[in-house]
Amino acid sequence: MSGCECKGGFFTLRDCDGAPAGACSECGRTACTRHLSPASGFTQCLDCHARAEQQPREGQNATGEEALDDEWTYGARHRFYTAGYAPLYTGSRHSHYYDGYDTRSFDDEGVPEAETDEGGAGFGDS
Amino acid sequence: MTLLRRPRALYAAFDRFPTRKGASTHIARFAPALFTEYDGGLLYVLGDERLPAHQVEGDVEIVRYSVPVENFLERAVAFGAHLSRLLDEAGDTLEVAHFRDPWSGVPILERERRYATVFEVNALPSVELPYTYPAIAPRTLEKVRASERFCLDAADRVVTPSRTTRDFLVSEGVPAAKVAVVPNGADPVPTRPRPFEAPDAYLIYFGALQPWQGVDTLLRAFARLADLSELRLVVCGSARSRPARAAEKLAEKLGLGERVLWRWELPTTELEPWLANALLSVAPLRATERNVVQGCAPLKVLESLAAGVPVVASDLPPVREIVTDGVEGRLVPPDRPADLARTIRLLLHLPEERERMAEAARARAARDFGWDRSVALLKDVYRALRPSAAASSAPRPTEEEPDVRSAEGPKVAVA
Ligand SMILES: [Zn+2]
Ligand SMILES: [Zn+2]
Ligand SMILES: [Zn+2]
Repeated sequence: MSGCECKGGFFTLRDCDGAPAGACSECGRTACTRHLSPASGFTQCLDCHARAEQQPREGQNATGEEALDDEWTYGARHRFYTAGYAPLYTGSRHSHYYDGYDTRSFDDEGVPEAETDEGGAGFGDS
Repeated sequence: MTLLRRPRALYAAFDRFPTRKGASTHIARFAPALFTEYDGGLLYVLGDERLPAHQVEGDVEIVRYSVPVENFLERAVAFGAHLSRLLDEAGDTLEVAHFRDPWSGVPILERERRYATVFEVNALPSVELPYTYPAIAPRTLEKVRASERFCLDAADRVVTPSRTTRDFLVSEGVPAAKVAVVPNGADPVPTRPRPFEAPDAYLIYFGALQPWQGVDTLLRAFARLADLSELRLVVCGSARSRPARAAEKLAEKLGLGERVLWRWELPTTELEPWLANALLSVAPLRATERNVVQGCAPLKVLESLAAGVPVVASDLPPVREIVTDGVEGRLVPPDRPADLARTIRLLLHLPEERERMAEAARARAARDFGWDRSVALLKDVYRALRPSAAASSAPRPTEEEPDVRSAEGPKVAVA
């Protein structure tokens, strides 16, 4: 095992190869000091720590539903509504701006170009 | 806590980065332009199982939202919710936030903030989603549209690559003075040796194959050129997606067989030789609301010009911004395979005409579409947002932006 096995680079990603300072307790990769997460006490690599941070927390569903209610959706719905942006009333304080009816529009229709290409919106310009 | 730095600038895009799509090229040019103006910053994009979810590259920190949420809308909302958490960490040092879509824009604009905001509109989900999700509920689409209107109203500036899109946004009520046109760019493509497996004579289509690209029109046109038995069509698709497979099926149905060569996800270094040695590059965009009303800035057309390859493209307002009929190529009525075939056939018989167009294409790209120029225009937008600049000059539309270089001032206070 030579150097740090974490990836670096902006448009082209390659192995960092920096001087090893430890191994990630999560994925086992050798990592340099730059690629170990200070917030994890340098026990996890940045990648693993950030992924863990993105996971829905206790009491949330897979998409972080409760967090959406409190941190974002309520605020968004509330301001849209009071500022005249809400096209419809969307329910009580804890309902989403987008609800189950809305997400169902995106349940099927296979896998469009936008998704496979971009893993997301794909509203490119080409 | 995720962030290791206190960013002064944020660039947020609900796009996977880096990929081989146009959106990625755009981000790779524009985000660094922002970060050089603010001594670094935070790039927040989508990731996947392979791309690092968190990186620090010099003074740039990259966070990729990497939770595999299958449903598009749930993913978009979860992406925004995580951005909200990052803004909690970064919010009070932030001076400017640049975003590409309402999924990023709503969380950025919804909070009490002291940073300035730039909404980069390449396309609007409310216009494009119905193409990829034909069954989308009207109520849902109306909600998406409302979130876009909110972003357009609340952002300090709007930038767009196309004058067609600017006119569309103005017609939707966005003040003209708020919108700056920052064209896409394409850097000169050097002459390249012909790929060894390349046929002697071929047309090229490259890029994504969304329904509005009109690849079906091109395939039908190509079927009418069957008598040119040596001629091939090379399709370099950015992904072998569902519409791509539909295109392959159509080619089969039209009996095109070996006459069409398919290449998928070529890296730039492999795509460029294919492009540079093509006789013509075809951009058969359909006359859809997406292309005609909303507008677009097809990178494939710009890159063809930069490679000195004459373009045959649909005669639509956003294409006319880039190609003049008879100068760098030919513009043809959209959605008309017979007309497209006739124009291609004519040009194939006129090598000197093609040579002249190739020269004009290179010249046009160098003059009007260098990335340096686009980046300079974008930096002008950022500079005009700085407090001292805002005091002295109101934002002006587009390319006549004054080159205001202001000293550091106090943070922007946004009402
Ligand atoms: Zn790890
Ligand atoms: Zn490293
Ligand atoms: Zn943390």
